[in-house]
Amino acid sequence: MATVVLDIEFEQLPQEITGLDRYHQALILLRFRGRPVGQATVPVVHGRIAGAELREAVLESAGWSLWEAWLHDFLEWDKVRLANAVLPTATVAICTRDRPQDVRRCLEALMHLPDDGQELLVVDNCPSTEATRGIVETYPRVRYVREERPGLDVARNRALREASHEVVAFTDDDAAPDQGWLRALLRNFDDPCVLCVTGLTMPLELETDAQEWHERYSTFNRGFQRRVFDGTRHNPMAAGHIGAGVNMAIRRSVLDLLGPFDEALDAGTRTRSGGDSEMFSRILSAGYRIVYEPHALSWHRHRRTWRELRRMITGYGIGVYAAWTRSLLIEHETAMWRPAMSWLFCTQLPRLMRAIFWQPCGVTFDLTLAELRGCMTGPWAYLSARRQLQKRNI
Amino acid sequence: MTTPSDLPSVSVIIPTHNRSASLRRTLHALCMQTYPHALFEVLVVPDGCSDDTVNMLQAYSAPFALRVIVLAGHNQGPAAARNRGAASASGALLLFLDDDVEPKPPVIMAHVRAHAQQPCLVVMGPYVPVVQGRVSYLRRFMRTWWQDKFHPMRQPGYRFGYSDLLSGNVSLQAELFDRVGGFDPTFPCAHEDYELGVRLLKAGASFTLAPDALAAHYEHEHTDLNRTLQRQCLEGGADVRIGRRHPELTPTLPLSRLQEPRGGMQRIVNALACEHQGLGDRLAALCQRLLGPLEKMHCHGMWHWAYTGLGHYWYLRGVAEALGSRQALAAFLQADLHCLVPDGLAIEIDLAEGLEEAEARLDQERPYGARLYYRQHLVGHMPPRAGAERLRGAHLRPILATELAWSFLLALALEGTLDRSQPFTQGSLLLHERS
Repeated sequence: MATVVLDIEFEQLPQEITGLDRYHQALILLRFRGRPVGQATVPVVHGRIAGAELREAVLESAGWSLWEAWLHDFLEWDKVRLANAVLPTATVAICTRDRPQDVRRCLEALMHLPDDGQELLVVDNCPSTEATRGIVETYPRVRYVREERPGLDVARNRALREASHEVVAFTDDDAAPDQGWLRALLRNFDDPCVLCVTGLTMPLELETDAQEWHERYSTFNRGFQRRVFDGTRHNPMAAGHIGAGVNMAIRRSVLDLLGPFDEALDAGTRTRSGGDSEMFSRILSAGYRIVYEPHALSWHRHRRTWRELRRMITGYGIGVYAAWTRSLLIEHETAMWRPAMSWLFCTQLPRLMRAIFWQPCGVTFDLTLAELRGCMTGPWAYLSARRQLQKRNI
Repeated sequence: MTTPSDLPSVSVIIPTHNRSASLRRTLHALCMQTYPHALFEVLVVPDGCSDDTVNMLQAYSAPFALRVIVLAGHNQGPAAARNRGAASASGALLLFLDDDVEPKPPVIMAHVRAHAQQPCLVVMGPYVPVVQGRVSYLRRFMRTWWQDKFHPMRQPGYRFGYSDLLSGNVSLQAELFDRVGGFDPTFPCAHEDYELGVRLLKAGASFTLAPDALAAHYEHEHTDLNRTLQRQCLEGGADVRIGRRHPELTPTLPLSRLQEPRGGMQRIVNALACEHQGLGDRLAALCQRLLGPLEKMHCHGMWHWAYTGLGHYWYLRGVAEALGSRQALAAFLQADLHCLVPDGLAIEIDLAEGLEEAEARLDQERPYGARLYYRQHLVGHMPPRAGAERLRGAHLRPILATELAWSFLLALALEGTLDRSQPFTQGSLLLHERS
């Protein structure tokens, strides 16, 4: 059985939801006048959810962010707060590699963003066919750039260089940003110390077991409260909880201030991820700020098969440790030891132990083992990816 | 749109002390101003300069009227230099710039435009450090300090206080400057601007920030760790002066923390700075020497802790030096208890009459403080604050949206306002008591 993902406006709670015969439960994103304020899981009985149950579950789960949203709306707070703000313009960049169908959905979603003069850019990374180019050409507003060198961080750097606006908002090709996404991200660039803003990412669909486990084991959701991360109050090396590259915006000036994304990291190299969190660490350790903005909503299509999911989870393990390896070797950051050790000994190993005792052949065991395998190989993967990069550059 | 004939004459006043190259950069920037050159004059006040400042100024050919007023002898401090400049100024508007500040081309125009909005205004322009990217911990600390100083001032409901008056890029009417008596020249090279801020607010002036009056600040060329700590010491002494002159401000000064030290570390630092200065200075020197290795080892947290501790120590040393004995300190801190801003100056506002009405009333009455009600339910206080501007309508919504959010919501729910307009009830609000 699968989980249906519903997007519900608080002021228009339906009396009853029917026609959900394929599903055993619903994951509901709750909005208040368009703003995401919470999520709830509600069981589906005989293909329907009763209104009373829905209402109860929604109120139970929404909490303070719902009240805050109501109050801010009552006070017209956003209008007041941003009265003097000078907001930058943005380039929206999709970095993609051989996923034309996903790119189409993503572009379709971007067409619904209100037009504030943003530039739309697709960086086609080392494509094996012309399919992506063909799709992009059907959208006259979108600029197509082809980057021959493989690697997500290579594509991100290309996007930063190609962009004509001050802020570059990145979305992955397998995500579909919400209408209010870009505006919500940009609002936070009012503070000159903020170099990066990340947003809330919800699952687009939870149709398969693998997708459900992805959401349960390694969700992108970082909550419904805005948070400001600052290098003096947070360990810059513990950057995983800030957000992810699937939904982030960066000031283009990082290129000059802190350097480009490390091209030995992230998808397309042996490290498979970590490029985003390494950049977060660098931003925080240089004394700048990152904001997590839950109103900047995007929907991510999780991996559909087990093989893909396991591979991805291993990739996360590799990426996290590869990024810490880079911080240690290149930035000489010693603060990485603490999160690296605590993640391994306080999170991963206990999780593995629990899985062994309770469910030796279960899903958690499988995923934890996959991730742990990644953690162990992360440092070597980084070194090898670096060597490969140097060889290619010669 | 203002026509050139409406534009006021402006006097730009720059005190300087042995920073010839930096001053030249400031003058170059003034040559690039969009404001008509015929409408402003620049008064440079070299204060006890022993470098080539005076020669440089005499040889400088400027497209605007450049006047040099040399203060001979020893360094008299920026307050005296600014007063001297202001005394010779002929402009209706005074713009004070520091010699390490490089104004962007529209700065003078931006100040003038801001003054056109409202009379009796003190206009600040942001001057943020030019150092960006990966720099030393000290630079990073300073950069954040300056950014965090200016960023809140740009928010619409910001309540300005005396310590928002920063004299590196600030303008006011010459008449207002004379009326409050200018800078106090007895101040030791620190916080003389804050003290002027106190008197300006008392005189009923309003503060504002003009974001387009942007300037670059080359602070890093002249400030190192030693100088920053020396400055902390001077600030300690200056704060004692502020407290003596305006006793009601004592609780707002950092030195009031002496009364109730938080944590053992602060207690130790207090004792060292006030009573065991020989030992304290040696420990401070040791601690200062440790900062370098801590930075090399990338121990940012420890560095930050040690640096703020050192700053605190030198600040208190300044305080102790100015007061002399521990008894004098106790008497000084006691004095403020008698001159708190009386709560009786607060007005009562019923928010049920509408937010716009409440804002209009605040704008009209400009009270020192306000007690907010929703019908009979107390929502909270906007307390009278010593050394802060009086309340304006713009201050209301920010405080309701943040500090008083919970009690305001509760009052709305208890009065049934939520039930009528919303699908949720007061019961559900109480259910979700803020964690």
